[in-house]
Amino acid sequence: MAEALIPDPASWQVLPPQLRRMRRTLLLGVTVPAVMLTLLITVTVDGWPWPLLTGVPIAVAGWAWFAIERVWRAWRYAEREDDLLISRGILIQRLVVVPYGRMQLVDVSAGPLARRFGIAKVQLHTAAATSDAVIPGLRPAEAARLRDALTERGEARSAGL
Amino acid sequence: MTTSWEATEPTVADPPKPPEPPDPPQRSESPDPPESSESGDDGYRRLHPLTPFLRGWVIVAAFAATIGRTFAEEVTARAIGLTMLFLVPAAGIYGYCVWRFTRYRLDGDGLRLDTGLLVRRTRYVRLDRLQAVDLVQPLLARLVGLAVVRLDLAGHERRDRADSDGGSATSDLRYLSLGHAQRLRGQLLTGSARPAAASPTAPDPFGPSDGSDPPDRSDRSDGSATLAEVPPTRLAAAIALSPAPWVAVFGVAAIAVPSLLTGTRTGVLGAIPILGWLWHRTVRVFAVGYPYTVSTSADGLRLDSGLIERAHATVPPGRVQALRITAPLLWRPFGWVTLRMNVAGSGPTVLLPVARHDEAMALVGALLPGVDVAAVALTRGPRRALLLAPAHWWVLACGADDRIFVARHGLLRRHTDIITHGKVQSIRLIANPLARLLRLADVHFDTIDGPVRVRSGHRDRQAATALVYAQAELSRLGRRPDHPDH
Repeated sequence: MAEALIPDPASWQVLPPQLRRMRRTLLLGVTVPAVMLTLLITVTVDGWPWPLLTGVPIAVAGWAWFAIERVWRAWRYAEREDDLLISRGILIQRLVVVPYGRMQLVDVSAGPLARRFGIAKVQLHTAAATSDAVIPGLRPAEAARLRDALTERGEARSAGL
Repeated sequence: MTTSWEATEPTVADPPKPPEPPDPPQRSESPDPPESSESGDDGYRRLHPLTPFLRGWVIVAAFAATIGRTFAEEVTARAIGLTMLFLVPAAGIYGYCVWRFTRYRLDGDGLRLDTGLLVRRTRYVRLDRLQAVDLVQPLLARLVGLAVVRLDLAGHERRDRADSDGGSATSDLRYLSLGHAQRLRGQLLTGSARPAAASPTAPDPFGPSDGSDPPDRSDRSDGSATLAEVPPTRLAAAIALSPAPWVAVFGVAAIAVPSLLTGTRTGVLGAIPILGWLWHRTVRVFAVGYPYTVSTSADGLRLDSGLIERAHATVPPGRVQALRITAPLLWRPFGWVTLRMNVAGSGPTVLLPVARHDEAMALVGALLPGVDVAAVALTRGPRRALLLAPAHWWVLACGADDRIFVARHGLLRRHTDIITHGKVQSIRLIANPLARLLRLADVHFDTIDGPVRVRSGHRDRQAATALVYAQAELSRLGRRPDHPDH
């Protein structure tokens, strides 16, 4: 019965590649010192299992590299007429529906690193503390547009408590 | 601004008086000069003159408790006397200053509250933002006929709640004489219920009360009807059938008996905290829950409770976000349930501590007119969810009609959660790795914080996705202004 209500796959918006690039840069920033540290241990300590230690951060980073890709692909949002849909997660999959009339405020924030990569985070707050509707990275122009659109629709459809 | 009202305040230097019968009903903006000693020419009013004594006493007690704990051995009677000689006037002056610099005024659409001796603070409470107005009577205040008017505001006021007895220091009016408090509450509620006609001169919904009535009856003149009461025997039996006293008794026995047998006293001392907990879970529950009356009033459901500390709360039906009917295992033979609710603002969360099932259903019907919870068909999840919930799979069920969503869960404590579609804040589908292996998912319905958390339980993944979209559609319809649940 509800198939007709499920949004058209084409209306789902994906996140900009800058988010993926920022996360991968952060990953490299952690991996390089870790590899150097394990290399130092390998050089100073003799014995055969120690060279394998270097492989650990490299393997973790390699896995994370592709995990970032998959998480980035899975995170998407769709603006419907009366609510915003956010779908995300690989391991724990989530689908969040936030009606515009229920939004109390929309936060757009960008830290120094995010600004450098040209992305901003959009977070939606309702009166319920448990609703976690967040879009981790959008281009600033799109984030501002989304914020204004959400606020405008929220005012138009405001329903009180 | 400070100088102007100080100049026009005629009764500043009046010494505190013993409690007097409340003044005749008067509007805060009435043109004729008020006879009350608590009202100035500019419509500002003060708290009751006994307030400094009740507040200053708290300081003395707190200081005495600290001294007593830290220097129990060294302090002599003379030192205590000297400290008190200094402390009692200091507390008195503090209390006087707090009273002297606290005043309030009802404006057209809000309540203005000025506080603060060194840092002046003006708080303006809009009447249409008011979630509830409660009257609270702590024991000491009750003895002298005073009451606290507690203003509950939505949302961000909660972080202010750091006062000694759980109230917000800045949105409480403490203390007013009981008659005054009831009148003010009536004025605030008429203002908040009908913002268009909001005016302090609006007729008092409770009618003129002459202040000599007993506190529980004086504002029942608006034809209210009692919906439910908790008989003391049932409450006592319900407490006896709850696990807490048995846990405490066995805990005390487990700790105290071995040490008594061996002749040491440490174990007996160790049992004292458990006894305190036992007191908290039995006698206190009884004192809070009896007498307990739920009645209708013009503004919503009225809850009157408490043996020693009377608490009066009004729950406007539209503010109730979700309901939970809980039937603990040992209560089920008697058909008793507890009714809890999520309510906007910081009102009480227990609607009925213990009631017969049909009473609870009647109350649900009063809060959600036209809703029949029993008629909603509940369906279980697919059988493969047994792997995730082997013991209570058969309890987990949910269903919806065009007004409400109902979910049932809990093996020993059977919960039935009810939420109207229009009150859903957001809908979340969550599929954990294990649930994904079994093609299952869980749907959460987010509401205002409270004891009720509504979730569907393990459902088929496809059905859960369909449920999310169907509920989003229902909740969109439920938010419409012409919808009965709006």
